[in-house]
Amino acid sequence: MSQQNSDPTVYDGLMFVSLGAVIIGIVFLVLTLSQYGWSGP
Amino acid sequence: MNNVVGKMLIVMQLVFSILFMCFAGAVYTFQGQWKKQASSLQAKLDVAETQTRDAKAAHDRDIKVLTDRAKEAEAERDNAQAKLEDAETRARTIQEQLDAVMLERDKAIADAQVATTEASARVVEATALNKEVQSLRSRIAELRQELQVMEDKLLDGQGRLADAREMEEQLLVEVANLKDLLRLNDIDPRTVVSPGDVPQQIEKVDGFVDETLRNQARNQELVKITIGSDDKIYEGMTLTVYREDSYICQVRVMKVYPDIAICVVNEKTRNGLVQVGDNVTTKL
Repeated sequence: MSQQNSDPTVYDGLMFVSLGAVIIGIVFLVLTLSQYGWSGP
Repeated sequence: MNNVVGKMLIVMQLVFSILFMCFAGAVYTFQGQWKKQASSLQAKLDVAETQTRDAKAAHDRDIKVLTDRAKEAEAERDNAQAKLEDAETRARTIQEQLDAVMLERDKAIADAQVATTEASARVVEATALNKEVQSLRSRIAELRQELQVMEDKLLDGQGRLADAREMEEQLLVEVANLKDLLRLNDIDPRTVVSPGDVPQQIEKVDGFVDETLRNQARNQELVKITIGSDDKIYEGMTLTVYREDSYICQVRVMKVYPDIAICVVNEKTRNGLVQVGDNVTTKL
């Protein structure tokens, strides 16, 4: 079993930023759907 | 190599995630306006649909009305067509009657022309007859005048005949008296007596000198007197002309008319000039 480098890189930060953007987009879409009577799954 | 691909995928995931977020935010931001526009459009759509339904209903009503009108118009058309056919039939009948009437009119015109010609001939005949009637009337008037003259002559002759009969009766009485007288004196009535032995009996008749005239040689004087054959004056008779108590001359009758007589003066007996108005007598 080889030992891997565990130091976070800039790409890890980018992944988190991407995750945040997706979550915010999902929130916007949920809010938008709630305006049209969407009650969720 | 895998590291490079992973990095590119991470970057691309980041970019698309950010884009997803932006689009979701934009949607969230503008959805209220879009909703308002959609509501407005829905309201407009409802209004339009309502108007469309109303228009359709009105259109259906109009179609129904127009259909009814079309049916009425068709009925009227059929009625009018029937009337037209009836009128055509009547027109044909009237045309036939008109043709018959025109034929009769032509016949009547021909008859009238013939009658006019005959009337003209009758007028000419009437004119000729009228002239003939006028001529006959003139002739009748002349004949009436002649008849009047003849009647006058007849009356005159009847008067004369009456006078003659009266005279005849007187003469018969006188003859009878003379026969009695001859028989009383014993004289034969058949004894012949010459005319010169018995002087002619002259009745006294008086007249006047109406006009005197001398002939071209101025050796004879003619006298017109106012007595004639009606006064028993006859040709060759000798008359005496006098003025008051003066004897003028004797005249001899040459021409006798009923009321006048023409005499010639006997120059051997003249004792003065004869003047108009002198007295004339058959017996002094």
